[in-house]
Amino acid sequence: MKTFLILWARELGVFFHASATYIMLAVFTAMTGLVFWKVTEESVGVPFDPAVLLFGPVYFWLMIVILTSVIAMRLFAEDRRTGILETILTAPVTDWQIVLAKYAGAMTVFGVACLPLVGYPLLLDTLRRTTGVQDGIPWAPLTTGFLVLFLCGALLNGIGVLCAAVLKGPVSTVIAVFVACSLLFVIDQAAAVTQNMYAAQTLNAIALTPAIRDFSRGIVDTRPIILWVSAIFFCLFSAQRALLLHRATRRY
Amino acid sequence: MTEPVTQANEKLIVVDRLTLRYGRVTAVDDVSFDVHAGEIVGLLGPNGAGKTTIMRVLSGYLPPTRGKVSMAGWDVVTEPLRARRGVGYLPEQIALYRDMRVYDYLKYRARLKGLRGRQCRHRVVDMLTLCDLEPVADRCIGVLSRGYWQRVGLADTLIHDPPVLILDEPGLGLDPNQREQQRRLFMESCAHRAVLFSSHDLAEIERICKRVLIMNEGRIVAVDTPGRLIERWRGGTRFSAEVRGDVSAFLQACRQLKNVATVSIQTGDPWSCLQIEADKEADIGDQLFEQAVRTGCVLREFRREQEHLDEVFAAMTAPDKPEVQ
Repeated sequence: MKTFLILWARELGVFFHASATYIMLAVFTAMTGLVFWKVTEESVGVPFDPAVLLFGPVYFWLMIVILTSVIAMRLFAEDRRTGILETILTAPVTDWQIVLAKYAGAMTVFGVACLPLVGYPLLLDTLRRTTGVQDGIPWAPLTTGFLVLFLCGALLNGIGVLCAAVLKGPVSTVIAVFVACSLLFVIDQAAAVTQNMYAAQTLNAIALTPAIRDFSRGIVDTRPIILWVSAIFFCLFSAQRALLLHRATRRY
Repeated sequence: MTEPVTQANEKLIVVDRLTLRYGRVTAVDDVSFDVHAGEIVGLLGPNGAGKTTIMRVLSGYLPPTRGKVSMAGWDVVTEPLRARRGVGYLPEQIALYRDMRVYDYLKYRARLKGLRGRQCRHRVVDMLTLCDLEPVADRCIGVLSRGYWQRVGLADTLIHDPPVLILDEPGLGLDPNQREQQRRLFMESCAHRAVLFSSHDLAEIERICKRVLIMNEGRIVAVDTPGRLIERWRGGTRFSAEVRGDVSAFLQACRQLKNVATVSIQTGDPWSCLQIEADKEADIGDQLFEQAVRTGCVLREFRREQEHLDEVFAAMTAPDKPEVQ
């Protein structure tokens, strides 16, 4: 456990020492804030639901996909390029500790990036009080909305760690993560056009959008949670195997 | 499981029939050797001979395709973490975190290698002193020179006090003064360890290594002390002389001496250069002097040619090389 914590702390050091991380965080905060403001402005006159305003827009999730892609870019590619990976892999640490530390590092940066989002409903609540609006903030859907954001982030970062462990370059990693994660958001569109009922059900189960819609309305379905946790475990396991393969097949 | 105790003359590196393949390419082919405590062994070979691959297997970075490798008593495949704890590995291209300060980096590496608390802090301070890094302890690694990078890498290699050291071309990119400083550092810190040392600087290998392994095309083609390898490889004792006077008479006299194998001459005006090769271990220096005096030649220079490891290396790694085990 201590070794994992040491590696995790170093991972955070690498992330937060780079000015690119702060630029990324600033751009993400600005873009999500802009999306929230625009959607809130356009929703005047419709029933007030901050969870839908925050987690409903497709642009918000596009920002999340871009964020996880950029986080994944730095995970293994930089270590491979500089040779640090060899230094780490020859230390008395397991491949699992390395993969989990990378994942924990990615999740921490993701968490820091998403932290300002908590302020938006609080801001709305403050505005509601000052303007004397009677309707209260529905906190339950907001809580499940943040839960789905956390779970989606965990899944997308898991895919990011896998792509980063398998692919060599940062650009190929970004593209692979972006494509894979975007597919998970649009795959339910394919379900609408397919003739096969089972295929449609499967595609709907894999797709993130229906589950996000449910969670942001306060409906907690455990099936996608189990699926996503299993997928995260699969991604991390595959990343660990990819590291083993990287050792065994690397030519010098 | 208890830690194995290191004893004098104990085999700390044991490589038994190691083979490593990348697909169809065999990088290391059925290699066996061992290194005892207190022994510095040089690993020589042309580029692509498999030296770095062997070192990467020993460090635990690459898994062997076949064969058994144990470091400080631990098998690198079945007990990888224990084996790695017993090894200090300095790779050919030292990779460090540029954003970290020297002190913080060494502390991080020490903790990663299992040192904690006061012991960790003491070892970091000891390494800063040993590797002469105190003046730059608070500076970022990214701004340091190549020489300091090597020292930080070496401090990292030694920080957990490993019984085995694997050093892959540690002098690469250093100037002669830095090399000399680094050599002193090795000699100080390698006394009770088993050290496998790879370098293209054959003079340095000859000076510091007790034993030499010469590799070519993934196989070990020679194992011995540098002195014995040179001795074994040498065809005979070679003398060179610069003379003037009746050179043809001197040449004739030399040819008639017992134990002289060949004599060649490069005539010049007025000085001619003679190359005389005697049979193995035959000492004919005094007789050559006598003949020069007897034939009335003036001798300007006379020396016994000293052979070096680089000649053995060149011969062993040539395309049609012989096998000397």
